[in-house]
Amino acid sequence: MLRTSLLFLMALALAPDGLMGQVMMDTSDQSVVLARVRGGDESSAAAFLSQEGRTRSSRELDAFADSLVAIAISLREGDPVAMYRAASAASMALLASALRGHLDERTRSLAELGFGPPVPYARAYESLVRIVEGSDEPGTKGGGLRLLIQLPNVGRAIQYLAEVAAGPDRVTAYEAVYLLGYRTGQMGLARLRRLYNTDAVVEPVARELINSTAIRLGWER
Amino acid sequence: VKQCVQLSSQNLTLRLRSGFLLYILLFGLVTVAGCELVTEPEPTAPETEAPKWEIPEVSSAMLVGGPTCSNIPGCALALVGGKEGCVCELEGLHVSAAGGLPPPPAPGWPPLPGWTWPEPGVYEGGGYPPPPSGSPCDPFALDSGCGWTATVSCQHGVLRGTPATCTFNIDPADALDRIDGWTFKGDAGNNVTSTFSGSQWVGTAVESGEVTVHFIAGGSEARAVTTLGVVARTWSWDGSKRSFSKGVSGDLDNCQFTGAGLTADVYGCTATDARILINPGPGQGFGISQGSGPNKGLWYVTNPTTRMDLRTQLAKKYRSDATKYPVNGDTTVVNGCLIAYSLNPVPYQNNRGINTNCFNVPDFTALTTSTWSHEAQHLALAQPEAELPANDIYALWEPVVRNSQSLARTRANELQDKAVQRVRSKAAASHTGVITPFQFWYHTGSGIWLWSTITTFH
Repeated sequence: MLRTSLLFLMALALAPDGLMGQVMMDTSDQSVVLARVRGGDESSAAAFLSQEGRTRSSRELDAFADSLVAIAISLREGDPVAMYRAASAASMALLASALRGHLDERTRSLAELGFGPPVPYARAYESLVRIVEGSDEPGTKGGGLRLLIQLPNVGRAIQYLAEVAAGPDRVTAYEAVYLLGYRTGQMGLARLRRLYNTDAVVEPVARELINSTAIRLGWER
Repeated sequence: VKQCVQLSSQNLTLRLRSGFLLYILLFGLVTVAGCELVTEPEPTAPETEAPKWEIPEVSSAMLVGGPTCSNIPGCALALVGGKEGCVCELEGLHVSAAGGLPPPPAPGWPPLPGWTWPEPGVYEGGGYPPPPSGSPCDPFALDSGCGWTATVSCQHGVLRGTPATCTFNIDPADALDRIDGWTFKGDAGNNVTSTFSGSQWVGTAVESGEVTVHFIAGGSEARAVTTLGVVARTWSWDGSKRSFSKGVSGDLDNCQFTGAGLTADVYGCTATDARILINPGPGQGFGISQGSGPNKGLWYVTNPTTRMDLRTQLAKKYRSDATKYPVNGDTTVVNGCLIAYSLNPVPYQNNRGINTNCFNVPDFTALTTSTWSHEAQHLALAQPEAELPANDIYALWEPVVRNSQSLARTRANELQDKAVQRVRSKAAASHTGVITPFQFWYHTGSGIWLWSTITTFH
């Protein structure tokens, strides 16, 4: 209550006339924020990681990111809907903490409340890679690859996709070939063609996909 | 001397300085669960002495993760009314406190004091302790002591995405100096701030939470608090939005076939991407809208239209409705058809005609049969997976409320993507990686019939 009141008073004092509906996440209690992630909502975790309204040490941020990774890859008994929601929210929090469009919007909203811009979490990419490599659930693994290509520095993600495409895991190899062929533009296609030319994709289903992509695009070895 | 003491109880709610609430059931003296044997009678307090309330120093740090009873001097962890709480010995009084955030106001709950206790200390009085000197009036108290009474009320049971109204009233009306603004504290942690100064806050509700009016009355700053209750829409990706069937002539013909068969969404797949299992395609089939009034700045999902219409299909070039070509060139082909038809020239043929009418090529029939069978396996695996509650895209979308349009859209995409991925991953389980060669007459598309080996990947 006190936090809300202070925020409100600050907004009144600092915001321009006509402040109408600016949103600030409550990230004061880390355990509450993680509980929200387990419930399927990543907003406050993203605000925590991007340091909305409050500076945090890199150690604190990394420890929090570790908790998100643990939520995403831990196997839980019980309701699969709840498990997917939690894993999904944990992954999404990491993406949102560095997602350009989201941070741009948050910057405008925070400015109206008198706060500085959010700070993209520097290790979002590494944490998402850990989720991809640590999860046994197809949606979380394959979905994690899709989140990677939405982060800044898509070149790094493409390099990782190429490594995964040449690997033995069916879900990630297939998804990586697809993302390189269909979702990462000319840069991804160029990397996929190198994989094709070197016959590097070994997983049978992923191999069938790269071969059919080669036929579609008229590639020859 | 056996002394049993039982006194009546009083209910008391204290708002601590930390901003946390402790509901405290204050007993004049504890109901003793047994009797205590003492050697000397203890002095009893005069009946006229007013009870005292101790406000212990409790910092936010102590309460991270919920009230930690052991951090409060004089308290010990215990069950209070079936909930984890504290039993304390304070100033000779036994105090039980169940911690946590307050439940929403409901009939029978005591009104919430509107003031904040400024300092730890001992306060005396009967019933509710009076507001400390200098505190603002309590707009919720039965006797506010301010000469006016203020209330705010919001609707409950509001369907997400529909209008809701919060109304502020003060009696007498001329006691109000001004409304400085409204705030909303959402259950998901979204705090909305607005300088809206009207007495009725109307808007599209998307999230439940606490609504507070900040106002000045009689020269004093005051607040009035209530809750807004939003309920989920009944969204389900039910059977009317999903279908699974063997394709008929024409189905999937405009989609990219990379092999002899295909299982895909009949409206979603394209000439360049046959992997699409929903329509419209990924990233579509829903809208993102913004709440307003108390929920301005919060974005939510609207208008779900995503469907899954999976069909299986054999590549048109192997079907009877495929384009037919003149039978010429290779003499084996020409002679075989001449014998079969006893006509010269023989009717135009396609792959199926040459291999089943002019010749009886077992591999051609084997190819088409195994392809239909393989695609049927995909379909049989996809359907139950798509029908799982965990992959109910509509239900996954319904509660999505985010503080930016970008995040709401990205989240909705991600939920859709992952549900479809799980269906695809399950359907792909029928792939064994086996490559099978089939030999039959094949039209090259450049007017030539060739005895060819076609391999399929299953």
